[in-house]
Amino acid sequence: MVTLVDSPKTTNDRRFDEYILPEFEVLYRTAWSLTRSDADAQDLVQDTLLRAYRSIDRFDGRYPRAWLLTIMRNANINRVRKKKPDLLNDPDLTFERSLEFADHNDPEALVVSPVLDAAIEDAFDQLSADFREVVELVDLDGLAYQEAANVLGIPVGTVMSRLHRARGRIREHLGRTGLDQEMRTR
Amino acid sequence: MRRLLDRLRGTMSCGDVLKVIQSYIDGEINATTARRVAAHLEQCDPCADEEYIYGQIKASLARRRHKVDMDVLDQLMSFGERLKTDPNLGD
Repeated sequence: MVTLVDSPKTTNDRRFDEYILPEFEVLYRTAWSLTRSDADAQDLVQDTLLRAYRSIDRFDGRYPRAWLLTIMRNANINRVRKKKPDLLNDPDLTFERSLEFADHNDPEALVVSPVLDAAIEDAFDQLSADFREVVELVDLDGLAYQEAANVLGIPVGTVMSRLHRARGRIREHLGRTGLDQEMRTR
Repeated sequence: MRRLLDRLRGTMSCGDVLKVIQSYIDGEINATTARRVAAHLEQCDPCADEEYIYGQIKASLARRRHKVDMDVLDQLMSFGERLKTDPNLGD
């Protein structure tokens, strides 16, 4: 009797297709939020894919996105260390990069309530780097709280607290500008 | 007293709802609490307004999302395929 058993390589390739392939877009979005550059984001995703492929035989198959985002976080720490060791964790650098972030080329944003979008953008830009980071991962990249916690290496409660306080400040800003009253009479 | 009555009836006060309104919008609360929040919002205009405003904030932030270049995604897909034939890629 002949038993057909997949070689380890075939198994790994199948796991790669099953667990990693569907996450490419999320990985790229997250990498872009972390690096603010297409080229760096691409490098970071490739580094993440390499690390993931090499350890896929040890992955238990549960929560592939969380697993990949943790790998990306570690890859990003190494990337930043290699690139500019003296600027590691420099909050000013993160802040400067965030100023380049606004997407002014989105036609939908110009049509849908430009006044509201402008006010929210103002408030967003006034947030601290820690607050902006979680807002980007959850609201822009579409990550769940736990996934954002994995990327940042912080407890999920901290993600929730920062995110809610960040949006709370944006909400307060809308209150000061009177836009919230207009929204109430929609 | 009001809170106690709310709890006994399985309903939520405005304060309780506002504490979880963002998690509700993000889909990060359990189904039972979500149903109780939804029931409260049906009855309470001020809380429904807050839900609308926070929902608009989230939607506006999502409009700032970085556009993913499909060419870049294709390149990453090709990289993934090459990785399968040559796991030492990048060494």
